Amino acid sequence: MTGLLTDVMHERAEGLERTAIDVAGIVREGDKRVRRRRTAALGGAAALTLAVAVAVPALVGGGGPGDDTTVIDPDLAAAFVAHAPSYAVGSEVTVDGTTFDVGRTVRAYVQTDVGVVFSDAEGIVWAANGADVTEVGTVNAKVPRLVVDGPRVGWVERGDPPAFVVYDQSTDETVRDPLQNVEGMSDVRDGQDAAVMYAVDGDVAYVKTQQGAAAWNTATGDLTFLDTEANGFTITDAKNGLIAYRPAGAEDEQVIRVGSTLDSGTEIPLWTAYDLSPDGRYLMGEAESDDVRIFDTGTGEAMPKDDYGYGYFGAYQWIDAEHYAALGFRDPFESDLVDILSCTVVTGVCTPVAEDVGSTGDGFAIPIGVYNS
Amino acid sequence: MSRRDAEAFADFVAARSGALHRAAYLMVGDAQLAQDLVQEALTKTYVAWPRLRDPSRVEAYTRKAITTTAIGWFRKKSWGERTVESMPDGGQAGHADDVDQRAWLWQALQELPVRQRAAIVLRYYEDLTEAQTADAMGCAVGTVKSQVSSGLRKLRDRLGADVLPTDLIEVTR
Repeated sequence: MTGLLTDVMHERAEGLERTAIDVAGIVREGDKRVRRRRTAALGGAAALTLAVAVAVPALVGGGGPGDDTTVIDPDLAAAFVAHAPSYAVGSEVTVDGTTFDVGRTVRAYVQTDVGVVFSDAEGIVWAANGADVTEVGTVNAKVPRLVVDGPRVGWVERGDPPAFVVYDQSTDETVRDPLQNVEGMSDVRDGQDAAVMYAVDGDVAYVKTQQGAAAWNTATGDLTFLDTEANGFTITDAKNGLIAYRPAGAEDEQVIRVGSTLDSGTEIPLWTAYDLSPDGRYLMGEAESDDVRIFDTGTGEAMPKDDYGYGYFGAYQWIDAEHYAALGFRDPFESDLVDILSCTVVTGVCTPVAEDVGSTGDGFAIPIGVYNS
Repeated sequence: MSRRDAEAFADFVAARSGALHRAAYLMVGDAQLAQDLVQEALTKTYVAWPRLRDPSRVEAYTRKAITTTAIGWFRKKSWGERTVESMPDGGQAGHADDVDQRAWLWQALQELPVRQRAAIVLRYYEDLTEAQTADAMGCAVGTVKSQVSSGLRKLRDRLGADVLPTDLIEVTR
C-alpha cells in the first residue's frame, strides 16, 4: 500500500552518490562552539551580578568545569533574544523550529527576551526557558491575563486584596505590591471594581488600582495617578513612553488614542487595539471586526496588508520594530490548522514560518497573554 | 560516552553518515544541501556527545538535528519556492507511464511544505513509528498525524488516488 511512495524514496536515496563527511572539520567546529557556549554562560553570570537584562544563555544547574550540560541551548536562547515567533500546543512550546515541553498545558502565555511565562489550568504562573520551569506566582485561573515588555512580565496576583506583580525573567526578581487595592476587588479586567495590570513599559507598570489608572515605577515605588475614572479597558498597551488608550467618554466609539499622556496623542479609528511595537511607532488593532492590521501611531493610517487567501489572517506578536508575526486560518469556523507567518510592516509582505501547527481545538496558544476557553 | 570522544564520534560518522545523508536528501531534494545539513547535524551531535550517554540515542539525536535544522533552514531561506533537482522526463517506450508516475511523485513530494515532507520521509522511508517521528520532529504525535495526513492528501490531489490509495493515510502505529 505504501509501495510506490516508499519505492520512489528508496530508489532516489539509493541512487545518491556517497559523499565524504569532514569529520576533522566537524570536531574543530564543535570544539569552537563548546568554547563559545562556555564564554556565553560566563558572560550571563557576570551580567546577572549587574542586575541588567541579559541576552545570553543562563546557567541552570551546578555542573563543574567542562560540563556543558548545564547551559541552555544557545540556538533557543538566541531565538528568544530575537523574539522569533512562537506558539504552544498543549504543554509544548515551539520557537524558531525548536520545541520544548513545559510539563503542563499552557493556557495564557507571553514571550520574553529569555523564555516564556505562562499560566496553567490552576492559575499557577510559570517561567520556562527550555531548560527550567519555575513557579513564579498565581493569576485568575479562568481569565488569566499576562502583559510583557522585554524580560518583564506583569499580572494581577490572586488575593484579597489582589496584588500587582512584575517578574523579570532575566534576573528572576519579582516586585509584588497591592498598592491602593482593597479587599473585595476583582482580579478580572471586566469584574466589579477590578484591579488591572494594563501594561509594562520598562520599569513602569500601568495599573488600575481601587483609585484609578496609575503609572507605577517598580524601581522607585513611585505611583502617579493618570485617570481616577478609568475602567479595566482604558489603557491597551504602553511602549517606549507612549500609551495606547481609549479616551475618557469614548467607551462606545471607534477611537483609540496613542500619546505620552491620557489627554494627548494621535487618534486612530479602532474598535479594538492590541500591542504597540517596541518603539511605539505602530499599533496592532481592528478597524473592522476580525481584521487585525498595523496602524502608524504618528499618522493614524493603516499599513499595507497582503491577502494570502486565509479565512482569518491577522497580526499577534511583535518580532521587532519593523516585523510582526501573524497567524492564518484557512477556515476559522472549522477548527482548521493554523499557519504562522512573519510579516514586514512597511510592505505587508509575509513569509511562512510554520505551517499547520495546530488548531484551536487541540490546545493551540499564541503569546498574547490571554486565554479563551 | 561521558566525554567528547573524537574517535568514537568518527566511528559513528563512518558507520551512519551514508544513511543519514540519504534521509536528509529525501527531505531537501538536493544532494549538496543534504550534505551541508548532515554536516551541521553531526556538529550539533558532537557538541551534545557528553549528554548522549546511551549510544543508541546518538542516531536518534542526529536524526532530530537533521529534521529540525532542515525545518529551520526552510524558514530562513524560503526553500518553498525552490525548483527541484530532477524534472520528469518521457522515459522509455513501454515504461513511460511508470517512469512519469515516479518522477511526478518525486517532484510532488519535494513541493510539499518541509514539515509534511519530513514527516512522510521519517514515517515511510525511515519506517519510524508516529512517536519516534514526533520525537525526531520535536512535536506532538497529533501534529505528526496531521502533517502526514495533509502531505498525503496533497500528493493524492496532485497524482490521483490510483497512485496513492486512499487508505494510505489511515496507517498508524
